[in-house]
Amino acid sequence: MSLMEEFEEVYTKYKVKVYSVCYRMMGTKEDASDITQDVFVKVYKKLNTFKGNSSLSTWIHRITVNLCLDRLRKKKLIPLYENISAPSPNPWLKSSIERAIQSLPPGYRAVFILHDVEGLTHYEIAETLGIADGSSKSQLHKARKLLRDKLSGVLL
Amino acid sequence: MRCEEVSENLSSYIDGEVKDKMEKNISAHLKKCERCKKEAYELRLIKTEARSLSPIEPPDWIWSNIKNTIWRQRLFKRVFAIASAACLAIVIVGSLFFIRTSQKRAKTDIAFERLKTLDEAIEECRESLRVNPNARVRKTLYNMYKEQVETINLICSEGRE
Amino acid sequence: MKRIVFSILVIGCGLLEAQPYGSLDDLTAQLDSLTYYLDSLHKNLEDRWLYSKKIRLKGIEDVLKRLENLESVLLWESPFKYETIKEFKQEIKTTRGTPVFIYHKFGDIIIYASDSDELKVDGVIELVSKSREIAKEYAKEINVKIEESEDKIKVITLSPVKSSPAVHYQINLKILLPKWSPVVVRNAFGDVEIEGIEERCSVNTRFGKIGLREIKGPIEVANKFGKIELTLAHKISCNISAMTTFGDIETDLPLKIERDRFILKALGVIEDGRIWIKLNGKNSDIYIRVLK
Repeated sequence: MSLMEEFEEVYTKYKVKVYSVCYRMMGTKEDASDITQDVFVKVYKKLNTFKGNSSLSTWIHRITVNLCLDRLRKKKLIPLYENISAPSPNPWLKSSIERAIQSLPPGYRAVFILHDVEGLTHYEIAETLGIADGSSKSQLHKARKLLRDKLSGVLL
Repeated sequence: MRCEEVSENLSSYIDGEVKDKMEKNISAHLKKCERCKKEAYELRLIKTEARSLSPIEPPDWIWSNIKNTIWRQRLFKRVFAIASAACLAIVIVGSLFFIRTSQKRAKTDIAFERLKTLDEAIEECRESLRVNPNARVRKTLYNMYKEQVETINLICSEGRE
Repeated sequence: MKRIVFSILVIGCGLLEAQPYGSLDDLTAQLDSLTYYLDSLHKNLEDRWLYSKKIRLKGIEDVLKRLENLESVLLWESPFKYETIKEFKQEIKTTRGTPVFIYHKFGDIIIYASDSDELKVDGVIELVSKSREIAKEYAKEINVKIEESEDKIKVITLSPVKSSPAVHYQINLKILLPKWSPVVVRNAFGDVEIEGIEERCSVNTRFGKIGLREIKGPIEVANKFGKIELTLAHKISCNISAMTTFGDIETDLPLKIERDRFILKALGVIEDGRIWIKLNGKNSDIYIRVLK
């Protein structure tokens, strides 16, 4: 199989994950598209050095989150939907929660998305973000608490 | 257990990551404490909702863009590599060639000069041969011819292949 | 294979009084032909870029073959049966300090220095010819003449006026000179060796070797196609200037050696630089050594 074919397989496998994480991290489709492209171009370059899929997944997540955090830092993004005061009924919880996630500080946002949205373990998150296990746990807890505060009107 | 302590460990609790002893204690506390119960419930809800968020499909044109970028970068890399390699090669070959040809040119120039002296010597030897073809004269003449051929050979090594 | 056969033929012919070439004309003709080919090769050198390597090398191969054929002819020991050796001695008295001029050709000259005033010339003439008569005739004409005049002495070797393909010769001289005589030597197709002269030595030869040993006076040497060997006395004070084209210079003295394309120069002052030594070689190697 040629490199291009292998790469296409990888893209197909991870495109949704990457795009979702990007979109939830960045909040806009433009940023998500940009970063997704950047992520996969990088993946292509390093594809030959990966043997087996285990490290690839972690590495792709790592690139994705790092690029997002970088861009957020550059943009000094103030979360758009910071103060969600208007309560919404439960059926719209999903979009409320998406907006609420946007309001999280970038670091917490990343941990929350990776753990609760994407289902990574704290160990994997620690590897992905280069933080300690314990940090991941405490950040997740803080993220959930913040979301709970933000969504208090909606949840009930 | 106090509420504070329970509250701190609630995330781990709902994730099933607390140790048995801790689990029992928190579980017991939650049965009694409404506030903590509510918090646990809400945190669990957030987690469940988050988990059920649907994955978002990227638009199709992203793949084309990615491919284009890759090709462009590859091409640029290649062109740059070839261009710089070509430049380097030209410089090296050019200087080697220059050195070699100027060395060879110098050698053949000298060889030409030498040929002139050999021509004169052969003339004189042949004159003397007419007068007195003794062993010495003959041997000298032979050596002169030999050197002349060798010098011409040296010059002829330079030329078209 | 061809060469071996040819050589056997030559030896055989020699034994039978036949020659590999009938006369000098044959050799001349063969040499002319070789020269012709060499000349055409030479002319084509200018256009060597037009010819392919194959053609160029073929031309050289042709010439080499011709040269090979001539080799046995040029290098044979003479097939002429008759050998004559004529010896002679001459002696004169010199005035101290009178320069001696020696003009010679076709033979070696060895000059020794003595403490007496006498000039002695010992000559050996080797003639090889087809017949005894021719040899005798020629031997008569070959002589060494010593001419004395006011300010110099000339030693001249006289060669036969006419040349014959049927005879060739070699005249080797051994000369004993007073060590205080400046000496000037001219020679060709022969070596020159001088030892022990304490005055000026000037040698000009071609196609022969020059060897000077322990000369205590200024030296001026020029040679073409023959090596120059200078052996200096221990701790001699001299100023050396040596130059050769298409040759090498070898010396154990601390001389400054410069190269300019095909010209090699060696210059240096030893001790006070009292005596001048000038060496000039063309297609000649120069060796300068000191006696320890």
